[in-house]
Amino acid sequence: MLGSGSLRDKRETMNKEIQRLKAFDWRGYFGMVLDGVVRGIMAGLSAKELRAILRGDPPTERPNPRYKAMVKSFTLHLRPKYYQRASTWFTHTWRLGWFSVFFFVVETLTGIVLMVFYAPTPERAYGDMLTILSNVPFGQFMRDLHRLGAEGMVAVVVLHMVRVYFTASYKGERSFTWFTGMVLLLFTLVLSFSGYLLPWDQLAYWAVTIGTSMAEAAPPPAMGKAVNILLRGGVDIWAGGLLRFYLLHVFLLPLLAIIVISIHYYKVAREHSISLPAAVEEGEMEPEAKRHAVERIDLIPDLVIHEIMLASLASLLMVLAVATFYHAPMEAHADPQVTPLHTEAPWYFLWLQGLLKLGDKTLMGVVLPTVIFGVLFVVPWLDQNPHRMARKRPGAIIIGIISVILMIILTYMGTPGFGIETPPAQDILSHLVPATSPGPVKELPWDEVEAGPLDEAKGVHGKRTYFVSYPPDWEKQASYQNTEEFVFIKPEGQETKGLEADNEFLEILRHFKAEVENSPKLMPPVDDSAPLAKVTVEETQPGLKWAHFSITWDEMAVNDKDGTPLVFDSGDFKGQTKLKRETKAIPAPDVQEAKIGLHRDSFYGR
Amino acid sequence: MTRVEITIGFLSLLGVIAITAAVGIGEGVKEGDNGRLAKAALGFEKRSVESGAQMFDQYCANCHAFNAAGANCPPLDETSGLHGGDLGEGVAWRLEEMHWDRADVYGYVYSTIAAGRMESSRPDRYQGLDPKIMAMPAWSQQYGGPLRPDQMKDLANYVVNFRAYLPSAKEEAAYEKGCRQVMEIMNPSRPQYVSKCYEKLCVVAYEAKGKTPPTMPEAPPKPADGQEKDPAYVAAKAQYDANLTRYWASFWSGCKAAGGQAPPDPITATPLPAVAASTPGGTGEATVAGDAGTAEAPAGTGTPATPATAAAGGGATATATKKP
Repeated sequence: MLGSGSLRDKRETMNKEIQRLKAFDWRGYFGMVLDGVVRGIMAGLSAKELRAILRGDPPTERPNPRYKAMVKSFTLHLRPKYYQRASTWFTHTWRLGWFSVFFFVVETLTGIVLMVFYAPTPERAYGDMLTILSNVPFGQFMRDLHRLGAEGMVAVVVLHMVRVYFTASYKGERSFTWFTGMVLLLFTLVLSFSGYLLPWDQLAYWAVTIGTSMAEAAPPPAMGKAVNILLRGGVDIWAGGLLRFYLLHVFLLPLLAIIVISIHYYKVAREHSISLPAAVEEGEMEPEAKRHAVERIDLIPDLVIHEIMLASLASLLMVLAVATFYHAPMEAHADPQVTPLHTEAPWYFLWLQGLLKLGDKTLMGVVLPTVIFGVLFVVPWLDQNPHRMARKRPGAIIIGIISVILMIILTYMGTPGFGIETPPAQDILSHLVPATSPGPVKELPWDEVEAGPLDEAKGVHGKRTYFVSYPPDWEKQASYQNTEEFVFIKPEGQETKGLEADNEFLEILRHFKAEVENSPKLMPPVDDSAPLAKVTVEETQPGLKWAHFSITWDEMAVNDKDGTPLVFDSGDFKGQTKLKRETKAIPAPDVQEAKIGLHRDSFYGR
Repeated sequence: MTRVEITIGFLSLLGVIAITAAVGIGEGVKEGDNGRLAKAALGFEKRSVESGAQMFDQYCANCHAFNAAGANCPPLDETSGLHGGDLGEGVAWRLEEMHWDRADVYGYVYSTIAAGRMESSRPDRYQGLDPKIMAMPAWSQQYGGPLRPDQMKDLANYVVNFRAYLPSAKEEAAYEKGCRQVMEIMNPSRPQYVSKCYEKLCVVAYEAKGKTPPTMPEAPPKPADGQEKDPAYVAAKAQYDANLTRYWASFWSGCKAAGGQAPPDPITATPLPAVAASTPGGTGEATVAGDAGTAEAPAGTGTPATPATAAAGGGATATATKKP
């Protein structure tokens, strides 16, 4: 039963309640709730504090909440509260350790995306790569980032080691940290190398074949063989080897790397911090300057903001490179039957390839590298000099400089052109038409490689012959006067009839001409039966040109053993030197050929 | 310093987002868009043709001749009856002859490369590699050959690419060319493949003489279900069938007058029983033409209802279709 009196009472109470609510400090209340949420997420930092951080103001509370974050947050507890100012000098660390981790994160993120579209079987791998490049939005972008990050990571990790060596930051309590760093260097190299095989193209296949074959040289022979088979998963790299490299690359090595990175970094963050520059630690400095140099730089806000800036800036540069000029290479499908003339190791293993050219596979390919890495591992214990200043450890600095120079020389020696003699004709053609990469001719604009006159009925262009190097009187022969069908390539500076002066193919042909004519071993066929070098181009399907390069040459016959020229023992020419063709059952000059198809829409290098 | 770093970081981040968005737009994610993805897909397909050409030179040119022109082994180029199955009956006659879907050149070529051919299917024309061993070796590693699936894919892509010779502007010519071959090669034994071609070449003959072929009678509209016995429709249908027979008779006689060639009398042709029984006219049009034949002859005589039989016209047709 509701009486009017009780309604009046209710009104009274409601009014009181409204007054009370009006008087309540809502602003303060919600501020408190919000503050709780922000602190909960931001490891104890209040919104006011964050504002102060961004404005560069001093901490808003006591004790400093910016130190509390390291206790409250899991991710931040890995980080130190502060570094001394001098250890954060850019010219001291070059942020190389930081960049190693940055690249590791980039690799993990892009790698996971790539894994979604890739299956590690010989039947699918290459096709999946093509799908990633042509059918997955951002597929090429991700792959290029992954590849660029991999190269960057190797470079940065190596430079980090060099920096630590030259600043002598491996001594005393940092000895073990150096050791874990060396483990990480090895991991980085193997991670990068194991990823090399996965695209399953020729470049990958042969680089890894050579790489694993070095394992075979490990003494004793039984072990070398076992290690090789363990790595390759068979006598040759095929399905088993691909799966093994894949598992190494996406599972085992990243897992181990995460563990060792944690150990490595934890020692830096919790045990001994980043080293001070030797000049600050040992040198004689003004007390004022020294006090300034060892001042604390807090992680929050200074270093965190700096790191976020570095991450953004590095991401920007990577993305810019990938969007404009940097593209990961992709060659033809892996083929055990087609050995490329030059197999190039990845650049960070060129020094090893250089070593191999110096001598025995076992000694140079296995023993010496093992010794080099072994010595690097124990550098902190070999170097008993307690000083860190460069002038107090001249021996170590000189050894370091010599090692770096040696590495650079070995890397140069490892490049394919160095010290390997290939038959000149094969070598010249392999530059024009490489077995594994597209090469200069495929990268030309399609129209520049001109075929012969148009066949109206079929709608394709006929055959055109480019005489690159030819007997001089051929040029005047009546049958070769049609410039649509026959072109005589003239050297630079002279007009070549039938081709525009700015034709890019002409430029390549001139280069070809110079190469064959300047090669002392290649003699034009003595009977003028064929031109020394020629190219024919024919459109065999609409949009598909067929280019046929050939070099026909004579050379002097030489004794296989000592390289002395062979001479006729008897007959009319007794005593005269022999041509190689005269040693054959059917006398004919040597011929080296290379043929390629060029399709209008294959878009190489464009 | 902090503010400078915050600004640089923020601007870089904006840059990353902008560039990524630009890359995304460049990919041409929308279907049918001419973006990077579409271009890359085309590029890879044509690179496959390039390496197929190289492989053809290495493995196949020996027997099929340079540029697949044919030698000991049959040609595979645009003149070969493999291509342009989508242009119509008769063009991809080789696939039809082998009972393969005529639009699936790739599948036919790929399987033939993979498994090879035990015996030449046309020993009178092409001996093949070695008649004593195998007309064409099996190339797939699966069957003991040297080639991997990706290599056979490249090769097949190269052979299929001869289709580029038959662009839409040249459809007619290709069709005519295909028809001439079809008649030359297949007419005696398998007339059911060539009826359309006779028709096609007759049209060519008419045009060459500046004449117009007779107009085809219009079929009465198809009755609703259950109305097929409707007397009006039955009468119209009978009229139409008679018109059609007359039409074909005048079409072929006009063709002969124009210097063309009518199909041979089916009595003289000796169809291969298995093939003849299993292959009806083909396209929808052919079936319409075939109605004339079935109207005169009881169904199930075993003779296929093709325009060839139907179009021979008059009494000859009756005799022909009654022959079991």
